[in-house]
Amino acid sequence: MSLVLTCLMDQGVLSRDSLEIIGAGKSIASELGAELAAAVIGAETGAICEAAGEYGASKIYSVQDAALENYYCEGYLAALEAVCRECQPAVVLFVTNAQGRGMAPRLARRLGKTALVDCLSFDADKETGRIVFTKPVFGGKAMAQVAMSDAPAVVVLRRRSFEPAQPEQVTAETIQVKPSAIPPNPFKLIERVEEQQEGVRLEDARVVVSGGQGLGGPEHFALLEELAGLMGGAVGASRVAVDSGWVSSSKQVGQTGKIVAPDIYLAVGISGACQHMAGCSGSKVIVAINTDPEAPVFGSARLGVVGDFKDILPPLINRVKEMT
Amino acid sequence: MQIMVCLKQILDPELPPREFRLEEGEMTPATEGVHLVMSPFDQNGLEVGLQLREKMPGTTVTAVTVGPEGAGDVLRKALAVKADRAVRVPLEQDCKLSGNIIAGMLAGAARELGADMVICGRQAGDWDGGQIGLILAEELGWPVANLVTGIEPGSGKLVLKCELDEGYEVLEGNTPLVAVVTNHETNVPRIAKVKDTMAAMRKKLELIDIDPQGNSLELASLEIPVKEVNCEIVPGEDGVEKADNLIKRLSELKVL
Ligand SMILES: Cc1cc2nc3c(=O)[nH]c(=O)nc-3n(C[C@H](O)[C@H](O)[C@H](O)COP(=O)(O)OP(=O)(O)OC[C@H]3O[C@@H](n4cnc5c(N)ncnc54)[C@H](O)[C@@H]3O)c2cc1C
Ligand SMILES: Nc1ncnc2c1ncn2[C@@H]1O[C@H](COP(=O)(O)O)[C@@H](O)[C@H]1O
Repeated sequence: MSLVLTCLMDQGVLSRDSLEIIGAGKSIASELGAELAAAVIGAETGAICEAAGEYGASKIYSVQDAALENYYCEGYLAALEAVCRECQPAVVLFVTNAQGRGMAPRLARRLGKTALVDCLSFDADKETGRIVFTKPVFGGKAMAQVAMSDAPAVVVLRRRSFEPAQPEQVTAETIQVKPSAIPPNPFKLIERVEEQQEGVRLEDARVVVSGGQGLGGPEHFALLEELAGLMGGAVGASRVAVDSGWVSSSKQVGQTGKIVAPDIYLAVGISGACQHMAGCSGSKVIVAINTDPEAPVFGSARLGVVGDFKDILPPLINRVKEMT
Repeated sequence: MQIMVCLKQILDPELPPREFRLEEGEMTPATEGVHLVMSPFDQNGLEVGLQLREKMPGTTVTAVTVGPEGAGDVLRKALAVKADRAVRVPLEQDCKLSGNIIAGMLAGAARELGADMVICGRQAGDWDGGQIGLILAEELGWPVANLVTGIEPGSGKLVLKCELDEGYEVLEGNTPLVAVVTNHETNVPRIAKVKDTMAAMRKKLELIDIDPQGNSLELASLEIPVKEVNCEIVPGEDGVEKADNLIKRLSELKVL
């Protein structure tokens, strides 16, 4: 039976990203009449193998080696390659986090294939085994349907585009895979700075207040911080605001930034380029504040306020203060 | 050190959606009347290369593009900001979803040029492939650093700053290597001086021929998504009224 292989790079607990990969994997496997498998890599894979089983993977390929304690592309890639050579999957799934983006194209190349990055949905044909994935191109101005007919189809799913898997106990079989060699990291890690987000995580926030070029400078982000703080939300930004050095790049929302899906997404001084809107299109209500009534953002927003943010945000902040 | 920077000419990604059209009956966008530009992340990559050259005497930056003659425009832009050399690898066929083919050709160019480092953008702003730099590294058998924002020389080695999902890491490595660049406040592209842009028009572009090999993914269809516009403009004479009305509508929509 053919396999849909989900690649899980977590240590200790399954991340939301991994649950999305498993969720998507499950539906692809059921459409194809295939079996759901998971590749679990690390120094201690026990907990993740068990968790993968609890979420429905029936074959679990584990590569366990002391050298793999922390993620590094070279080592994890060798491990994944060994798993793929062992189980010959029909589909290999990643998600668009830094690891997935970094590994999938290289893994595909090693298996003689080309990966498809940033997919939103799929359509599988059980008879032929042909799967067509939908992927935005031209920043989302067009949608491409790409047929992946020869195995393995190496695919990177867009984060937050697939429902996370629900627990479902199956009898899982764990297979230990031993790569012939695990290459050392070609780079020496000098430092790793994990940015601690204050307050609510951007991706989990119920309210996101994002600023763009229209803010005209970093000082006005304080208004956004204040509003977001009052609403229990988080601050995001457009690429231009990041490039201008107004906010840290981990706040960038969009195709090449964070994908968020809050109840309220407030875009302030953002023109609404597709590449930006790709990161917030799943929001319940998008609100745009922009001086230009012709700005494309009004084509994506549910509610629009035409005007200068300097006139609108202060009274808005006052009103929210009164409510809380 | 010889740095090769990969530059792709693309349809202006800032083209508003309402002006984006497909070629009649074809799975490709219409290009008539649309600006062609250097893909934005490649501009960041070029900037990273130029900054490194400034810090490492004896370094050269060679701009390389794979494409038809017209794609030479991006090379001129690179020469205008003082890239040392500009090379086009001719390719007439429309290569979409062909990461392996282009990466193979770029790898060939890197070998031919004797490059020690190849810099690519993280994702071309047309087909949004997001992989050529990584495949190229496989092809050359070189280490690759992904989502690089800057490179510094450091005691005979190179120090690369790379973005993570939350935060960043600093890596030390040796050439040869591939750096896949993403945008950051430290690599905002410089602007060419008018006189350098003029001078670049007269410079010679070199050609390197390399056979395209491999195959593309199968594009089954290409469509412009229909988006329903139902934006409701919140009324009000001044900021206070608009803010009040916005709060009211958000409550009515049950998100507040
Ligand atoms: C491959 C690729 C990937 C990309 N990925 C991303 C991404 O992940 N995220 C992202 O954001 N971008 C991304 N971009 C860039 C994107 O195309 C746009 O360039 C960017 O989003 C524009 O940022 P902006 O809206 O802040 O600036 P602008 O387009 O300059 O818009 C500024 C807006 O502010 C308004 N304004 C001005 N003054 C005021 C005022 N006082 N009050 C209210 N409004 C005001 C103006 O009317 C204007 O509409 C990507 C591009 C490419 C090619
Ligand atoms: N035709 C091309 N010529 C030169 N460089 C290219 C070409 N296509 C892609 N690249 C490089 O590869 C990067 C990633 O492209 P892609 O994988 O297609 O998104 C781009 O940012 C460029 O640096």
